[in-house]
Amino acid sequence: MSVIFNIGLYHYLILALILFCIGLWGVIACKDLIKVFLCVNLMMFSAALNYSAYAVYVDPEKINGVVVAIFIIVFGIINLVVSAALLISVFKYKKNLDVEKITDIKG
Amino acid sequence: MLEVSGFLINSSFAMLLLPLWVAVMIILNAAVPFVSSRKLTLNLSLGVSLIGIIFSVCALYFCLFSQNAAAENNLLWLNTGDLRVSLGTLVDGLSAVIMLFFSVIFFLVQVYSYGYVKEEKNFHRFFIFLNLLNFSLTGLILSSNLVQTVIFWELSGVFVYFLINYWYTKKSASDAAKKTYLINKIGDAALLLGVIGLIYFSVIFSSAENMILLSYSNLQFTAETLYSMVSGKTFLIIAMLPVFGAMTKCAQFPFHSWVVDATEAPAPVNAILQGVIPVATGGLLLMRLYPLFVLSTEVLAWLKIVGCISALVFAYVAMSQNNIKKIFAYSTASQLGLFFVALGIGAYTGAGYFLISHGVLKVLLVLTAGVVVCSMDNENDIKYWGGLRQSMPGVALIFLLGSGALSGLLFSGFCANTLLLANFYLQDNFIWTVVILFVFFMSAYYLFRVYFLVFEGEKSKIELKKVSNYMKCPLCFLVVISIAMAFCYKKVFASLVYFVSLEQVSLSDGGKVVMLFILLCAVYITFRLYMSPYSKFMLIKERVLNKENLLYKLSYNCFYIEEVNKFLLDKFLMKFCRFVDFIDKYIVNGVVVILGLTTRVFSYLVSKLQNGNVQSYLAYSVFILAAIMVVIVGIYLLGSLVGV
Repeated sequence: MSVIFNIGLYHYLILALILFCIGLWGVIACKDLIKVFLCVNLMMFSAALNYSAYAVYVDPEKINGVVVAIFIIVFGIINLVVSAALLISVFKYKKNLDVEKITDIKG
Repeated sequence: MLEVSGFLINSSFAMLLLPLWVAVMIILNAAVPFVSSRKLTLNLSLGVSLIGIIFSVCALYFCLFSQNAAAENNLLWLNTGDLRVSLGTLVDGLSAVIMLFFSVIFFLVQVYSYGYVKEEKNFHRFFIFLNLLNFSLTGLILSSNLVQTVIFWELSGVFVYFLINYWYTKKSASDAAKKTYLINKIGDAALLLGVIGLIYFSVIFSSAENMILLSYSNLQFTAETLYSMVSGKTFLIIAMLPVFGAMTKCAQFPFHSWVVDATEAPAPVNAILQGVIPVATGGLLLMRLYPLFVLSTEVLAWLKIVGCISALVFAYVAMSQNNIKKIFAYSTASQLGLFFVALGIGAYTGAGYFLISHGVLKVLLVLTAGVVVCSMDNENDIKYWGGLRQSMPGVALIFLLGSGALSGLLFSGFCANTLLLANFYLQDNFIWTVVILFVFFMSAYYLFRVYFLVFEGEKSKIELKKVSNYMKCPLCFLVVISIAMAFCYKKVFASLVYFVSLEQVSLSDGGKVVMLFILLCAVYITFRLYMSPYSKFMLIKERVLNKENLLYKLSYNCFYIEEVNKFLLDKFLMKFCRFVDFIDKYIVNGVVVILGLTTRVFSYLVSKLQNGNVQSYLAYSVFILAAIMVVIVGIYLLGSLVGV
């Protein structure tokens, strides 16, 4: 029981891994482009969680890991803005946001 | 003498390239509309032949008065390590004589050709190929080494093909051209193999650095070196292969059928094929390579056997043919057989003289026959002819003189035949003498049979066409040449063309009388058979010259050689060809098809991956990344387990 309730580094890492896998699964499997982009953000934030966990548990004196996590969050927001613009233009062009129907790069 | 030698050396290359230049000029002349004139084409061609005659007279003069010295001019053409091939010209006794013969005959044949194809649509094409043939044969006659001979030999084969194929819309002519080319290719391949063998051994054994490869002036030395170095069987094979090349060009026994089929060609081409080609290609090759052949008794025996079979068989076949062109074709094969036999017994000078004399006379006869055929509206069968002497006495006289000369009664033919007989007599070879006399007898028979059937007897009903004088004039000149040749044997020919030492052979008067008696007997029998109904002869005629008689059938169908060939081809060669065709179609081609099919199937499968769905690309890349990571981690774990 002590393994479950004594929260440590590994808990954070496993949580981040689970979040990352959920995000990956969402990117690969979702039909809706909005969901896909949300899942991309989920993957990025799981990475940010990873960084901050390492920053707190492995090297508490320095703040390098936390800085990277903040950067990731900032880039995630930028990413959301840009992708929202992209999604709007794709929707104007294609009249839907179904990934299966947007296959213009087919070889 | 030096000036003449220098002139020869300087002008020989020009002499070689002049016909080629003229051919290009004629092409230009034919290509320019409105300006192109047929007279210009003729004059250009005749001009180049005339220059050839002047050149060869100079060469003859030079060779006669300089004790048979040779004027040689060589250029290094191919230089790869040990193999150094030269191209060049060699003017010595043999090439001077044959060059003179060739250029004079070619001049006359071109005049005749003008009359023959004057009205044709493809007039210029005929003269272009005549000039190209002139080029290749000049190169062949003047060639200084065996490699060059092979090159020009192949060239002449190609142009002969085009000349026979002149009336290419005619099925028989085009078939004959193909047949000629294919049969001659057998000989070409044999010659090429022989020359490759000679090159191989002479490169291995050559001691002198600057010697020209297979040069004719050094051939005796090369042959003797080869003979002392290689084993008897190798030498025999190498010496035998060029003989096969000469056999095809000279229409000897197994390879004769092209000359018979090629009679579909225009008459001047036919004359060149039967008169000039054997002299300038096959005959010249045999005489050039004679130092090689002399060393092997088997080769000489082979020459004798082939020549003897050809001479006897084709003279016998010619006796019963009805197509005038075929008679002369078989006659060519038979007479060239005598040339082979003469070379085989070692009568070098006699054989050469016989060859050239036969060339002149055969051209004369074929051209005369061409005149007659033209005036008879292309009717070849002599059965429908007769009594032409009244309407064309001049042509009849020329034909009579020509057949008399070729059978050995008159002019150069008499001279040549006595020479051959004298050589056989000298060898003390009774059987050969009888054989050759028998061939002479048969030749006289078939030649005079043609004369009597065509020019004497009842007049035929076919209306005669007028024949242009361009076709008649060369005939007179040919008769004059034949007369002139009879006088210049001893003074000119025998002192120019000889092997090792001068040959002084002459037949005694008794021998001449015997020969003339036999020939006259043949003429008398022919006369009786075809001209005057005389009871005993009529009986023979009915018995022997009967469609049912086996001897007659054999002769008329040429011993069924063609049929046997066809049977063998169908039975064996065609089966083999089908087998090869099967392999090519299903095995060789199949491998290629399967390779192509595999690529297509694979690419079809791979192209399924490129479906344009971004998510699937991502899935593949994630899968591959995961796989790579698994591998790396696996290696790491394994390493730590082993303890490296």
